[in-house]
Amino acid sequence: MNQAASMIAFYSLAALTLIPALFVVNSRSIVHAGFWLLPCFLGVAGLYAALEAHFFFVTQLMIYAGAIMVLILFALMLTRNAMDPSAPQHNKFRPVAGLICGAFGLLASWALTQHAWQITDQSPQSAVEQTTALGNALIGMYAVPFEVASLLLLAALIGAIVLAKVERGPAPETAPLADLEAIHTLE
Amino acid sequence: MTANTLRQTKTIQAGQIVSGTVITFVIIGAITLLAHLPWGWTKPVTSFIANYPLLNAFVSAFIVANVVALQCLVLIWIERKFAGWMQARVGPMHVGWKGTLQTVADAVKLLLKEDIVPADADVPMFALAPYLVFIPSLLTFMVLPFTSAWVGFDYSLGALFVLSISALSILGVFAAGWGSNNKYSLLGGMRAVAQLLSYDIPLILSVLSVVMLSGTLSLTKIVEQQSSGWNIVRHPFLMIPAFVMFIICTLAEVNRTPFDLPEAESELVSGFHTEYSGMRFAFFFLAEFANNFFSGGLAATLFFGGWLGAGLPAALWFTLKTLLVICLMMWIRWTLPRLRVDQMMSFCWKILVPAGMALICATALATVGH
Repeated sequence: MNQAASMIAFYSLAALTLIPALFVVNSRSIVHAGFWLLPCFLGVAGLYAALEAHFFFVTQLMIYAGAIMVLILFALMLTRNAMDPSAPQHNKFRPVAGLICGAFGLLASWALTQHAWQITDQSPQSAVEQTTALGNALIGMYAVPFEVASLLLLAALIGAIVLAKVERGPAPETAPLADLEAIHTLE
Repeated sequence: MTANTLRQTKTIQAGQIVSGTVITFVIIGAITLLAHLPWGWTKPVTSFIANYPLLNAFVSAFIVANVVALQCLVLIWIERKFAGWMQARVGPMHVGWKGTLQTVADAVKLLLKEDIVPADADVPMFALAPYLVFIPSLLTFMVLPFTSAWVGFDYSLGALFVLSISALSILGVFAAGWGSNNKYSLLGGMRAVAQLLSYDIPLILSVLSVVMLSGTLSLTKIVEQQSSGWNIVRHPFLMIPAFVMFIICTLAEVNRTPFDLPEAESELVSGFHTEYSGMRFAFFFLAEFANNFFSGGLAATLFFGGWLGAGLPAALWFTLKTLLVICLMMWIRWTLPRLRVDQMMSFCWKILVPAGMALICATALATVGH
């Protein structure tokens, strides 16, 4: 890909990622904020595609744009007062938070410029080779971290179920058609 | 029903079968003849387009979008005729020959109808939802191989790509359910999200077993590998359960009975798209039938050798196999009643997911020697 085209691709994808990200934090309705995440995730997927990291591109679509988005929206639906446009969006720590974020941003950009990033002219491997290499690494060299991560997720799942499960006593016995009888007695 | 009307019904059905078979053969013959005409004169045009990647992509996308829109009209007609046949009635008859133009009339009606937005709707979400549903189903067609040459984009991770893209349509359904600001729509939307999310897992597992057998994620390569025999014939003990699982999950994915709980006319007054009218409603319908065709096409690709076949043109073989799978889905749709929500969820998580895991293990054992 020539230089100009890749620059255009990069900056438009970066805009697609960052502008919706601003809307995510500034949106009044929390459901809208959740939906603004979609172009954000798609922008990241586009960046992966522009870098020819095919497997990451597809996985980003499946995991983030698909599964994580739905998870967030599902959690929002089960939340009370999900749509409260009058809720305040800021608290009194706003200047302090801005200061900390700005300082961290400056620090991070300084740190990133200090490193000499190596740029190669070689084109990336084909999608099939990348995927094969990743698969081999996951079940070979990184098998233990991979399994530990899945164990952690399993523990989190079971923990969530245990926390959410409320012990209920047996349902109160009501005679069949009891409510109808109550109506009759009223009449 | 008296014996006489029953006999009449049987005669009508026999007539429909005979005429349907004749028409099918006439159409197949016509397309075969058309494919054997000398098409050499189009060579300069196609090679000119192939020289410019952007133009090529645009032309491919244009053709794919139009195929999706037009096949929808045909599929709806087939569906209504099929439903009529299964319920011993004739289906649409009045507009055009045997009602063939009925769906065209319906489409025109939908385009001309007023587009109503409810007063309390969450307007941006309400407006965006139909497109969020339709765009993913359009994108899946991009990598679906009609033949080895007729494929929009021959992606080497095609099988993974279609699974991840088709999962995105959940968001549109949710946006419709939420944005309508209507309790039935919201219930339908919630059911849809739960259902699509759950049934994605066994769907992925069943596709994964085919991928493991083929050793490739490219849809065209999966078809090419079946030149020695369809997957379902070569490995019947693995692929028949995988196909059954695939069909069950796709029925759930496209919200068709017995999994039409998100729409559920009788309890949710058609669920997440209750409030939609006009063009936006048409987009939901378009997406549903596009998904339907795509699921049939994916089944044909994964299990029935895609475009491979003798005698007829390759694209015709693909379409025939796809239509047969769609007919199977219609048969199930018009036969079975709707499930309950708890049955739907427990069937997925307690039966389909463990069965999918077992299938993956069995496939791994079967391929370990290769």
